[in-house]
Amino acid sequence: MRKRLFSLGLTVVISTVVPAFAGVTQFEAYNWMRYTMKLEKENGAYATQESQWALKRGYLRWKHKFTERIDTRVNIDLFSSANGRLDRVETTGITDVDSTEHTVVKKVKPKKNGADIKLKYAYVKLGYLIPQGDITVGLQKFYFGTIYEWKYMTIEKSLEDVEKVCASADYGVSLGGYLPKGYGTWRFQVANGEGYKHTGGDVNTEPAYVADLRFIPIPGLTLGGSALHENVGTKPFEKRQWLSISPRFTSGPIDVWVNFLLGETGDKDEPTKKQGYMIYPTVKLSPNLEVLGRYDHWDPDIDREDDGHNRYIAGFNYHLCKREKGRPGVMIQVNWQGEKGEAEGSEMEHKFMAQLRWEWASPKFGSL
Amino acid sequence: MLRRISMIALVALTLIGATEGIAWDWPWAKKKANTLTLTGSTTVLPVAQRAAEEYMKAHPKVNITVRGGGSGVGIAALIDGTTDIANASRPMKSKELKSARSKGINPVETVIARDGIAIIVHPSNPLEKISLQDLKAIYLGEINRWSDVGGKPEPIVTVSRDVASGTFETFKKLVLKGGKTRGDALMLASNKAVATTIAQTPGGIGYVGLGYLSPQVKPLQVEGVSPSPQTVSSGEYILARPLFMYTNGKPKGLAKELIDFILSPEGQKIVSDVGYVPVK
Repeated sequence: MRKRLFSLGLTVVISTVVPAFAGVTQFEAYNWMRYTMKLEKENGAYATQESQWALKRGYLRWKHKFTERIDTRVNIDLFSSANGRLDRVETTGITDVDSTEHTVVKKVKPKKNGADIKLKYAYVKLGYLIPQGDITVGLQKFYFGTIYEWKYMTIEKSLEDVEKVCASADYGVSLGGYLPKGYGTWRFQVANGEGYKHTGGDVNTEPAYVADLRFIPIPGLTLGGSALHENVGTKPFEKRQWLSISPRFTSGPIDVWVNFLLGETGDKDEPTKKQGYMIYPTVKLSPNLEVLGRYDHWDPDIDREDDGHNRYIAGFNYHLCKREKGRPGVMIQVNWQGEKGEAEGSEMEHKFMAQLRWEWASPKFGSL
Repeated sequence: MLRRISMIALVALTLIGATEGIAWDWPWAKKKANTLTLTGSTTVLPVAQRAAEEYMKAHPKVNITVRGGGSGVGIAALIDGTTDIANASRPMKSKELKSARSKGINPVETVIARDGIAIIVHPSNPLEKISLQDLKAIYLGEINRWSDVGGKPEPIVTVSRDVASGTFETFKKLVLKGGKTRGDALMLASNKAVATTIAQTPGGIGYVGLGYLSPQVKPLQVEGVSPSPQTVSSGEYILARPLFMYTNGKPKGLAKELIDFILSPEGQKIVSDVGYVPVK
């Protein structure tokens, strides 16, 4: 509670004091209110496993541009936590003085009181040294694959995110910029590697190295490639080596995005080889309505049979209004999602999600 | 389960229907050949408006919509596919070019005129000229009184364009050399707003495109040169820049016809009439 009050107080102080200084300040808020219904087969018939509303994202973003060359951003995410469950079962093992082992099962109250807070971004972008580029320091996007460009036009996360290849943000330093004449972007990054939710003892001594390139040879065709390498460290990431190839084609109302992922993780000498891909077409039916489909395939161990799964998504997004530069203002997203394992006898799990997403930005205060 | 799904689908469709009805604008439906939208720079606006009016007079079945908003807004609209032509008083930035190309938009620029950024004060201000150095010091907040630049012992009211403006970007590049505009400057959304404010503010200083000069404001000489189409054309006036129209790919159809018209002797006369410098 104290932590929350402190964060809230800090936000209020920042938002009232900072605009008084030189530069341009802007505030943004994102709210994603989602209904989820999950159906799984039990005893030969589908049963509802989950049916709930939750605030999945509640961003408060503060952007301050000190000069043309110094740009900063801080994001705080307030969101529903504990999945709304009132209590959960916890199983613990204990050993008596006479070495007898017991298992204790008890019902406990959730630690979260319905909502939680996390820091998502906190970085400064310095436009020095690199022409048409920047050096970014702090908690920032993780520039691998499609994760850093993911705008959640499907309610589901990007393939990297949902399959736990990497987190969408991490602490570190990156440098990058634009290729001449709009031909694309490039970036190198050194980050903790464990993601934005991990600090202190969770973080090993080995950093993760990322290189990313987006090349646009002709308008509408983007060829993307990223590489991620992390040396041996402490668990859970003993070795991580990933490659992403992500071509994207956009022409008029049609957008097709593909992502191939290939990686090795785990034991240094005998890593597990993984691979997967996503095919994600979108068709814009009107300036405010788009329909989409997505197919994911994921194989968590290439050397094992039938351990993979497939994901199918179909849905639509309807923009009730857009804000500046075509960014979402108020949007309805409706998705059906099916997931089925490759193993014999696996049944499809169905998820139906409807989300009302509203995002706003304040006017810009101050001047450069 | 089915009832729940139906309920949610019904609510979603009701919301959609309530806002737009069921007659959506299908993107592959053939765009009406006789309509055209221009969006962006308020500096280019007088040329675009006059050219559109003249063109529509000669072609009564054609409907051309011209909107302001600033260069940044026009370029964003082109990238979003909500305008046919983006008017801009600055070239597109790398970020904008990348964003456009990744969305399948191929921005092609056409220079339709040249312009000078005129430094204007209230007609009652006795000052006739200003150096680039003093101008920079005023906008950076280092000079606060007219007496420091040879004027009356009165405070200076600084008026600027807002950050969406191409004129602001060019002024920053040519005058402030990347420096920050003083915090107390009035940041206005259009050339017209700047000219109107200066006409009503005896201690004011602002900057506008040549097309917004009028007897209600007094242009200052910069480095000893008056802003005029002649001095911009000859290269003597240093605060000069080209004016652009951006299209997705080479101009075609009605966009091509309008741009060709602006580049024709008749169109370039409009450019000249509104106070800018013809390029042909």
